[in-house]
Amino acid sequence: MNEQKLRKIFAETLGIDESQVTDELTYNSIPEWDSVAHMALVAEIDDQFDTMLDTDDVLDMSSFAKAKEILAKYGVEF
Amino acid sequence: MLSFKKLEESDLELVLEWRTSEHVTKFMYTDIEKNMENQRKWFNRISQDDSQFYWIIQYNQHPIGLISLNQIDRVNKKATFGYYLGDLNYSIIAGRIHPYLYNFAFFELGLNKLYAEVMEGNEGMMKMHLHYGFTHVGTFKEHIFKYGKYHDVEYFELLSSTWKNHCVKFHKCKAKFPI
Repeated sequence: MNEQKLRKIFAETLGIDESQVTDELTYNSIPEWDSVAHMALVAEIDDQFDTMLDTDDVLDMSSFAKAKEILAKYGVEF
Repeated sequence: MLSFKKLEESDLELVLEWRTSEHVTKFMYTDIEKNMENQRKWFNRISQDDSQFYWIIQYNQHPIGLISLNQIDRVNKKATFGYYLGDLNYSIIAGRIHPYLYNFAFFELGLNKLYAEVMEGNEGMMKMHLHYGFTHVGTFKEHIFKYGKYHDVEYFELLSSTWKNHCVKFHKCKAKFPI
């Protein structure tokens, strides 16, 4: 359920189809996921999962797969 | 880890490089010449002006951008601010800079309000302001003339009470801002 929630966040924030949100989706690999979109993505994740990702984690969150890994550290189960 | 170092003369060349880069200047009110003499004059001016402070943003001690508090009004306890990341390798963390300054402004300086002006087209920054509790107060229509046309500017405000009561999860972003 959390994976689908996260997938929806990625899709809506980046303005892409959910089918494009795979583990292989990485930062800057598509024009929609640039630094401006990344700020919005992190903000939305923080809001919806009630987290405050550390700066190191924001820097590290370079793919959908990595996002799940990082959120797991904040107690989000996948 | 993010840290903030008081702007020094030795930083001026790097800051000028950043300030005149396309990705920074396009949302600033003015474009400036890449002129070190003018840069030093600017630095001398701001060094004697206690209504504004500038810091180099560092990530793991590496300089990545510039941040400032400006038009500090100690009577009415308000100020505006600005920042940019010059090193695009770190643009991914741009959205995390804000709360450090807000915590400094409200908890250390005791300001009551921060306000910000954002040029039209800079939607990313507008979203960040709203994310961090700012209210969009209004639009200054045709406020800036640049690149041959007028541009609107959006005006945002954040009260200390809002930051302290409704933005608690951002309070952990604390760092020293040497004055």
